Amino acid sequence: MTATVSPSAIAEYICLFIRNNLVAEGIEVTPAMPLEQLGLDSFSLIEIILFVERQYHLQLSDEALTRENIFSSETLANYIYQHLYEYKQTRAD
Amino acid sequence: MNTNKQERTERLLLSGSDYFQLLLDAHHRQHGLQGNIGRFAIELKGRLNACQLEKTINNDPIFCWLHSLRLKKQWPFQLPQWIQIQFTDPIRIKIFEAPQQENCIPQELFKFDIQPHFDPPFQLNLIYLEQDQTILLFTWNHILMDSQGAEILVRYLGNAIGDKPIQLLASKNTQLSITEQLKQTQKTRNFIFFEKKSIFISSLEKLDSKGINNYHSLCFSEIETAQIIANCRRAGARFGRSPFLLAACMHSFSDLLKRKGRTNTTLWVPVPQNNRKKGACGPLVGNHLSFLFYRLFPQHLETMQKTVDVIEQQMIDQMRKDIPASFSIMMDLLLRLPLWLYGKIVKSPTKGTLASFFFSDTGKTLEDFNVFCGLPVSNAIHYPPNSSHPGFTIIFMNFQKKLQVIMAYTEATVNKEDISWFESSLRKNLFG
Repeated sequence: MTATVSPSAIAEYICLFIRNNLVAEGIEVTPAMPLEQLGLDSFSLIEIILFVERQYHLQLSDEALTRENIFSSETLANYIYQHLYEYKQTRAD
Repeated sequence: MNTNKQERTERLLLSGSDYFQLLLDAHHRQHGLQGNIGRFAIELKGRLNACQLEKTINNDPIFCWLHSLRLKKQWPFQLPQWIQIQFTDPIRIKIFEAPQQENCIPQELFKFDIQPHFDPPFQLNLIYLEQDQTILLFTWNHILMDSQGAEILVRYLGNAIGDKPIQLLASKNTQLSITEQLKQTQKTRNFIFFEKKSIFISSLEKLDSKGINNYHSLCFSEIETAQIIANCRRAGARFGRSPFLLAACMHSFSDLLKRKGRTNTTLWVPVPQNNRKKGACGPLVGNHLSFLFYRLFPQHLETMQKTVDVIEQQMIDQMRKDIPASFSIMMDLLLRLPLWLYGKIVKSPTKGTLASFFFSDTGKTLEDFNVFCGLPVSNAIHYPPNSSHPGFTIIFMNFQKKLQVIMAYTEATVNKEDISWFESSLRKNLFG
């Protein structure tokens, strides 16, 4: 994945993954929608985490996987963006 | 139903997951129990017209096709398959009358068995209750379909799935090379049987029994359901409710074992993962399940928070290692073996037994199930087959906004007193 990603682009990418792999055709998936509201079970929530890890070459720590961070595609995207930004900063320093 | 005729073939190969269900069917029968039989009951306000329903079913190509399938007797190394028999009797719905009370499904319907090689793989019964209520009971052999497949079929029958398109069969997977399949199989076997510490798979007494499954149900109100979900958050569950529900069951199960004089037991729990897309009406035929396996040592059961945390950690680790997918590949590979050899391979590391405790959370698939054939639905409940003898099965499901629990057991393993003790312990763990 390129380094020039925005939180909204990450959120859209997560939504696309959910639409293509986890929910039936025609189910609306938006970045702000709570993931549990989509009927996603525990396994599907972890599928999303693993997708994000593969796409952005990172491994999320246990502390990162809070209920707040995985509430919606948007909250997860914000956390990923922050994580990538901090990582870039550390490397620049 | 939006399915094309080509899908309703004269021969239908079993998947690895279906073949595993056939193994369970054979395992139950070896112990004098009925086969791997699932039941789905829906309770309706009003009297359902049996003649009309029978006519609808007999005019429906999918019901007629499913009714004509029989499991073919297998030659060694031949792939197991369903075949369509040419002449079948019309599908009959038997009618029963019962008083309005708890457990009003006549016991003889729970004794009804389906031999996959000889009998139609499903049966429908109607139970008329006093005060104009009806129960529709769909009974099927689990080799044909899993519980969600049964739900889709029954809801389709009652025009209760809206305009959603139905998928009858699964699309074909890309076949992996045999080397890759063997590699994945080895990985799964190593994970299940040999990682860290050998497993203690059978924690209940193994007694020979001719008994049938007994069921015990718990229905929570909407308020109670909300309390359980709130408690689930308090216990630190991050990935939905299932890890919390499993943790609550494991605490109660471990205490039940202590009560029966078994202490320091490592609990081994297979949990199915439904591979269908959420909200999809299909695939209808076949078992679309893969499994995750949890090992809970006594130190993991000190507090509910700790158990939830350990379960979530084990869930993430297994999914990172792709264990559920590898398990499915292993099951597909074992499909080529004769059943007796398959059974020997699966049961050899555990000296002939299968897991004692089985847990499943079918989720909220019944949340929007309000009407069936124009009648209001007042309840819908799955009665699972027992996991394996000596087994104890516990299933959570939502109906509309209420959480329900069904426990399946045989009296050879636990008695009514144990069950009532388990219920009060489970309530305590769920409500905190």
